[in-house]
Amino acid sequence: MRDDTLMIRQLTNGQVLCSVTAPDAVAYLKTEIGRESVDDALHYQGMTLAHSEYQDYWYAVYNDLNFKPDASAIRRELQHVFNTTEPFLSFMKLVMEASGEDQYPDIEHDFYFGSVLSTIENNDTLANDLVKLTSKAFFKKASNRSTHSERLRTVVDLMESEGIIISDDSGSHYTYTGKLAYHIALVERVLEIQVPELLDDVEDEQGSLELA
Amino acid sequence: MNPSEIKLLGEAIAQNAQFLSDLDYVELDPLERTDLPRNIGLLKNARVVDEVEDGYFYPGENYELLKKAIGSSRYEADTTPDIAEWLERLSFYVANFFDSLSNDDDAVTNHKRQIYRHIRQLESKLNVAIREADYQVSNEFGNVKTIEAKTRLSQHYLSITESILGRLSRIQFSNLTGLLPYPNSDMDVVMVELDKKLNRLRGYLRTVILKIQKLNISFRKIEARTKKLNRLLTAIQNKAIELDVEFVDVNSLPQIFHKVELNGIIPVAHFNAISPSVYEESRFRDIASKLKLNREQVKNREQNKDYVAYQEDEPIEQAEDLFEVQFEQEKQVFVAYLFNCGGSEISLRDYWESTSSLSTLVDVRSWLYEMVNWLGELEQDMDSYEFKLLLIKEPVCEKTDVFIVSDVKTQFSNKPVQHV
Repeated sequence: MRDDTLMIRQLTNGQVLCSVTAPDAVAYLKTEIGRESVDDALHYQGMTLAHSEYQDYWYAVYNDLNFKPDASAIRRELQHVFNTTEPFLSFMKLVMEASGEDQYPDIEHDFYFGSVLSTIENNDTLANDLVKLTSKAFFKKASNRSTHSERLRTVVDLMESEGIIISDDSGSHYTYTGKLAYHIALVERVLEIQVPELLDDVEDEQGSLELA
Repeated sequence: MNPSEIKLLGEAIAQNAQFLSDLDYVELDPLERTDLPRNIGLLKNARVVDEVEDGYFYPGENYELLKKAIGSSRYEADTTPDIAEWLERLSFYVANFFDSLSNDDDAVTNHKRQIYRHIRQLESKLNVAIREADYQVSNEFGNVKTIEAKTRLSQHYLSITESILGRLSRIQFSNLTGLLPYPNSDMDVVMVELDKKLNRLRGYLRTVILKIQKLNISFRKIEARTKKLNRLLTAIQNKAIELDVEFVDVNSLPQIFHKVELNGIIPVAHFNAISPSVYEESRFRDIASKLKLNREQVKNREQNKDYVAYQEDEPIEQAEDLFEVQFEQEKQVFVAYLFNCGGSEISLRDYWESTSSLSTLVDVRSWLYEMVNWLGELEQDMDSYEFKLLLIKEPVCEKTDVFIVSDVKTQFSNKPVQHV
């Protein structure tokens, strides 16, 4: 078996390999030989290797979107991304606020379950937000939990099962994966095409980004 | 206050540390906070904070006591010496030195030592100040959590470092020699050494300032991303947009998924020549290398000392130098033209054909290859703009799969904030 067989299978299955979940694979794909080898293998399956700007996550894309099964697979994936965008963003916002931060998390950002829970338990607004979050269809499994701790645990577990966060062995420390960045990037691209004005912010993106 | 009340107040301070730190930056307008924990009441009672109306705070009358206790703003107070006062004192010590020249040698030596000590004092204080700023910047102001606070801190350090640099820059060598009533070999050496030290400190400061500026830009990008995601979330929640795959145009799917793709030139070509992640993998590199006009040969030739030695007396070198100067001018003229065109797409081949001074200087393939590389290098030096390069390929003859690059179209645009 080739060394890269596993990652080829993962990529073909639609998985996102990132610096958090698969650092060795990412290091391999950053080498010319690794990249060419995996890309060649993907080509046999009608796919191509793709990556983020900083090569911190990698994924496979279908080459021929006129091929109906592939186009259907893409549409299914996109619909799933669409369906989960709002709950994911709401979760990220809750954790962001409970962590005392003012930026949405990105790949490699982390949080501690205990610390987030403690803040939520001491803050009525955040506690209400958690309850609201569990009323969403995606988190319905958490809606019948009686305590904030149980609710948050179920929500976090659901996010982990989606591959958006990953925990270390302690079960209390969580890190956001490249799948989150991939997910947001897909939505952004769709909006760039369909409703560009929603993402435009002239003040933010123009003059203010120049060196003083 | 009894011990339990002191404990509760201590806990309130700890829980609101970020808020208290933010208060330090309040000027005319109060700080708005609507989501503070209930124990903020303890801070109000202790007059550490002053809530002027619901959710709007100023530092309270006891805030300064707390600030002194936790040593905030120590950076500003302790590490930034008054350079004007220092210079005045230096002038005084130099005058003493010259006055003592008529006395015994010991007095002269003592005054000289005093001057050296004075210089070391400034150097040491400034080094500490700059190192502290450098440390904070390198750690991306890790002691505070929010981007808002990080941005404020970076602005704070930026204004202090820029102010120090401004004051140091006013001390030129001519100012230093101006302190000497007449030339003196000892003092000449001192002033030369001092000038060297000041130059080094200015260099260090510029490096730190650049780091802060870069960090500021990344903070703003993060802020922009957060705003963007907030807008997205609000729009979905208010049903201002509906994310449904049925509304996605099938033809846009490649654009959505294939924006960054290896081993191929993207259908809607966005070719960033300098980005290692794209350039290295681009097929264009291979095409360009096949043109046999690459710069490596030139570089290798320059690195080959024998070759250079051999060429030294050759008149051809002068011709090459002249060529390089002319070519450099042509490139600069082209970039000026590109910017004047206000972001519209320019054909490098058309430009070459219509510019006789250029077309008589280099052939079109050299021009295309050189510009793709050079624009990439230029882009690296610019933070706000990027050059989009679109390769135009044509078949070498009818009924063939072999294509050659016949033209490159380029346009400049603002760099996007977020990429994938």
